[in-house]
Amino acid sequence: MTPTSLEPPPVPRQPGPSARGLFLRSFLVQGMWNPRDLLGSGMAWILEDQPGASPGATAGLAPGATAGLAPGATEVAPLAPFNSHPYLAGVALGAVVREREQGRLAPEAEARFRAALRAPLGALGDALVWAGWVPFLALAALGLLVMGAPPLPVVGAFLVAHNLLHLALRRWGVRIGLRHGVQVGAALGRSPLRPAGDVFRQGVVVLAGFVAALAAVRGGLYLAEGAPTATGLAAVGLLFVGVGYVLAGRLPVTTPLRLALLLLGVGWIAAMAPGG
Amino acid sequence: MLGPWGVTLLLVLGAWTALDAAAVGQFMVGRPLVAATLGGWVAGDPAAGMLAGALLEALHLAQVPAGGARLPDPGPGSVVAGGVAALAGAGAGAGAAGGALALALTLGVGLSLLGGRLVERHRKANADRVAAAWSRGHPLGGVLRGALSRSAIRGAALVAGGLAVASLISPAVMARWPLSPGGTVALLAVPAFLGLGSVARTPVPGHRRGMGLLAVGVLAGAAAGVLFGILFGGGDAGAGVGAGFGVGVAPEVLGRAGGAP
Repeated sequence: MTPTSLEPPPVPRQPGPSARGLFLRSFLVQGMWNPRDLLGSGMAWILEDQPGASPGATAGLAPGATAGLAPGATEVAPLAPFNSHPYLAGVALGAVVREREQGRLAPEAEARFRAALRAPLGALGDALVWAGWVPFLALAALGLLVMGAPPLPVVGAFLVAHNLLHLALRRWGVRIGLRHGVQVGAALGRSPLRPAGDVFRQGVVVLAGFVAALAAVRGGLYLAEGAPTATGLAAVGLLFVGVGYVLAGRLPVTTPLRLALLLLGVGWIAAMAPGG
Repeated sequence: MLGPWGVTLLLVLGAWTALDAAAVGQFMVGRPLVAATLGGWVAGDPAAGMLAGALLEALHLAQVPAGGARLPDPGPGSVVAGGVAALAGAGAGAGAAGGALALALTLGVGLSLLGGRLVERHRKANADRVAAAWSRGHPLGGVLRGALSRSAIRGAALVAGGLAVASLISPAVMARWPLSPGGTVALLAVPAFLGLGSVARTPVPGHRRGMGLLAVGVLAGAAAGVLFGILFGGGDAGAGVGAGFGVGVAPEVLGRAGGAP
């Protein structure tokens, strides 16, 4: 059919972003994070060059344009929420890109697919990275520092070690998404992420105890002359660790921070008091 | 005294750590230990920055940024804490070293809590801007650029504010702080130990396995602490170690020259 002047010009099919492009854009997936659509806007921005992108998210659309809307429509559907651990968002991105390029997924099916990925991508990443890998490395760095290691090399090693896993996770996520498409759930299930998270979280528990006891004993030895007093101080330190253990989950996670501010505030009031 | 380049670097670092918290990459530059050490490094004393950063790290360790949890934003505050610990510590003299550390930590903790509030408002504004752009068919790239700019400005402004407050506190005021640096570390060790205890409750597979793992860690840490005490004395200069979390710091930083803190 020959286009007439009344018809919109045909939109050329955009080539899909490469794995490298998805990998790089995934670093900004949380750039517009908000409580309404979570990572949905970041996903939409990354995918907006894609064929099948929702109206209004197509790159280069003129402000106020309604191209792509159904005739007579004046509003676009709200942006679909999406959530994932940010390091694993590439799994969903890769899978959606693959299915769109092959034209195999209707918009409704894509929405269902993205919704189905939210829980596993969030839970796997949170258990592996936020509850496992990051505190594990932070505690290892603290342990090294308590033992007297120099600060800059320890901080450098922390950053390098963390980002080796970080970058590998992002790259792997994009690749398995592009390779498996909607079948990516099975690939995630076969991945070593869950057992690795279990191992790191066990390491976190051991290291938390190690660092606390090391700091308590060293602090006691530093602050007190004589073994009995030093032992007493170390025991007091470990008592607070025990209190933190028992109260974990019952108090807000900001409690240590607020208590620190309170103690510092009391100290400054004492400092400023007349005759202080 | 920090020159214009030093101040600029701290502001840039503040912007970077604010972006790194969630919006760009999450390379962990905004972790308190990293941000404070870098802040101290820019200000000329990474060890003093690290001391503040280690304490702040222990205080923030239990916070897991999962599922959009509303949490403090420690990066810019930690940059200020590290910078102030280095600068105030160097300029305050031995008598005010405890006050310098207390000032650094007060600013670090306070700015972290304030930063968290600002992030929350920023994210709500993001929701409105995204919805407006989406409904009008505008590309989201402009919204993204705006959101990133505001994050960077927030981080730099927090650092600027923190440094401005610190510059108003004279060494005479810091000298009134009632505790030595070692005593200040011990004071902050109380909530830091609470935080470590909370982290030790991290769920692990297997019933009661967590308690066993924690016991192993505590015993190993206590043994290592005693061994260090035997080898190097009570946290003495040989190992360059201070009081517990006052770690890897030369004794002059902690204001202790072999005597009681």
